[in-house]
Amino acid sequence: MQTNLIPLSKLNKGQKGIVRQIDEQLLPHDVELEAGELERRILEIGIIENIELKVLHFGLINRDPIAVQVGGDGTTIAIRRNESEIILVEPIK
Amino acid sequence: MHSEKHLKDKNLHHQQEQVKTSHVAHGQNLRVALVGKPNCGKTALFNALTGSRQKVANYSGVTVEKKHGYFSTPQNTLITLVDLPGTYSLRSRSPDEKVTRDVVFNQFQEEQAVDLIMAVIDATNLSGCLRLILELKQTGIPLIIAMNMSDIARLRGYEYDIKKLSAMLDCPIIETAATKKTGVYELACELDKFKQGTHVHINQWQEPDREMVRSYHKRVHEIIQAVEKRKGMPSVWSHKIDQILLQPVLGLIILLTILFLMFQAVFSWATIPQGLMQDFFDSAQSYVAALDPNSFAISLLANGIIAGVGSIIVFLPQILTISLFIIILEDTGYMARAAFLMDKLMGGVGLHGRAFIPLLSSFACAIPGIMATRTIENRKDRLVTILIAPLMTCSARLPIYTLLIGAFIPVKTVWGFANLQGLVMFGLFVAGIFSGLIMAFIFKFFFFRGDRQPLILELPSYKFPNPYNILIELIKPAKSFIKRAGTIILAVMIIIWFLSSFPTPPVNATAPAIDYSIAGIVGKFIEPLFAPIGFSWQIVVALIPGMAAREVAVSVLATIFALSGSDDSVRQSLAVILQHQWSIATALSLIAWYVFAPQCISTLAVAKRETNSWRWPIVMFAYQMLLAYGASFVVYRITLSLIH
Repeated sequence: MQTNLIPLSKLNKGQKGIVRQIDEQLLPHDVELEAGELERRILEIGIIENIELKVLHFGLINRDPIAVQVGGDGTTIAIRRNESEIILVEPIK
Repeated sequence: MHSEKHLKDKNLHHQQEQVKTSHVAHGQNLRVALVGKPNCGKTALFNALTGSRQKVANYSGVTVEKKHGYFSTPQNTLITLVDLPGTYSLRSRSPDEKVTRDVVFNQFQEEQAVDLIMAVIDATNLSGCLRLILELKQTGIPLIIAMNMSDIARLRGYEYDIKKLSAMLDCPIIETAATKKTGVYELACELDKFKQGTHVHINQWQEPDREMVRSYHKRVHEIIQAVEKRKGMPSVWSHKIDQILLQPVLGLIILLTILFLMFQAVFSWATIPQGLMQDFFDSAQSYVAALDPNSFAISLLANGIIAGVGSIIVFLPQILTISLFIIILEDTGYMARAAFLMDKLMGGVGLHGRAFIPLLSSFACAIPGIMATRTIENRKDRLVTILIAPLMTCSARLPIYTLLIGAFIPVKTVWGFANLQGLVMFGLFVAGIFSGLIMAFIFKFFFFRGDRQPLILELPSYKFPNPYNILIELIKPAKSFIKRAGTIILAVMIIIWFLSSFPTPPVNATAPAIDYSIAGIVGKFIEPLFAPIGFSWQIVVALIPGMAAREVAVSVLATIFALSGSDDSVRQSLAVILQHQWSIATALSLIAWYVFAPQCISTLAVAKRETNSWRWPIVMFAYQMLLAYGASFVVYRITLSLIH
């Protein structure tokens, strides 16, 4: 794991990052899915390695869930803080 | 004949045969499966192609809606368009997605194999849509692509080399804008080309694992690099709107305001046409009844059919109003935002954010609500949502609420703007919601312990709702409501009229005729059971057929009181009769009963079908019966002690 990588959940509102790694092993609270499934679902909706994410919105309580813009063309995805821990991004200044 | 047999053969051997030629001659039928990602405008395209020639049924064994539409192409090919649930992949993780896969792979016995897949892609989000296309290519079934929302894509600056994309994907691509009906004709023309015979290749699809998903994405990336002439801008409007609607505090306030508005609308706008319809049925009933006071046939027509069915039909405006709100929220893309805003709050009681949409649909009717839970992947989450869906106040309870609120709650303006009756109605909805949340927590905590399922949800760009679409979607609940009124409710009304009219009273009778009837005898027999909560025997009689459909209870009361009225008494509206006959405690008790009312038989049947066991509908029935009795008891006793 590269040292400059942080989980998506650590990005602030408005901050951008490039996805470098998606790794299920990092999940803090189990979500009762078979191995590989969570990773696959995240990939299927379009969050993949080397794509740019921008944090757009947070929910009211504990800033959860998180809404992120995926790639340049603006698909917005909502994801819970817990699951966003497995997406490691390289923050863009 | 030859081709019919051929189709049957194909049906049987579709999977095994290597290369297959389908000869579909002029004037023949073609089965086309409509497949696409959620939010790509698939339903709008389905409506644009088929108009109102649609048929909704269920796949046997599973409970997913089977939506077929019919149209003919310029060269008279009859097309059966099978609308499939939106899916991100052909692999199935929810019951909804399983249907899409099973239809594509011809797994349903009663369904013929599809000849052709029409895939819908969103021109503003090619990267999100092409992976599914690559998967569909693997199935070997001929493919036509409708590149939908091309008008919006152009506005936002997207430009693609469609010819090249078509060549790379090896299938025709037609640009469409379903909401404006552009490209729809061209799409139909393209279907005609399949008549000459097309090769069906062997199925090479296999469930993609995460590495395969990655390689699909890579291929999509390459394709987009090759065909993208100009990159468009994300929807500026959607982002601006989201700045307000997803603002944590303001967003929730707006959501609650929308819900509040929805209920006020039901109680103020919808009552105008309702009043007119009520007047019409009232005068029709008096007119018919006056024709021949001594004839049983006339009595059946006036007091059974017109009073009964009429008292239900008048609720059509309210049902349309609430359906209209839900359709617009769905169409504009707001529903997904609601799930985003509510996820954490609902998580507090163990519900999934996705449960919000089924629960909101349950305000129209618990049946579509329970069916909408199919988008919830996890079984436990799904069961909890199904169990509490009937606590959301469905539109069939509106007749009871409207009647009782109209009769017992004064018309008053409070806080300068709100109508007190509307406010009480809102309170009843809130009571339903809160008890639903509490029950969800209890179920989750005691019966379905486990970790929470993930939330990964796309928030689609906002769209202006398309009036044509709204109209088509609005006709559906109206149709099914009228159909219910014309069948189940009509049948129940005739039976009730019969039970309330026979046996006829003795010649020297002093009490109203109904007291001597079967309904009166049965009602009085069970009455002691409901005496502690203040229900009279008339209510008890009304509750029984109310199980068939809740709204029937109103008609039954209408029939009973119509039959107990003596000839010389002035015909009064049901509300006025109730004001004289019932105490406020009884009325409030009945209202409380209906907040929790054990659901109608159709809801239980759907719950049985969805959960595939009798266990859950029985649990559902039992817990709601207990809640209803308990709530009515408390309300009745408290009101009595306050009066005295």
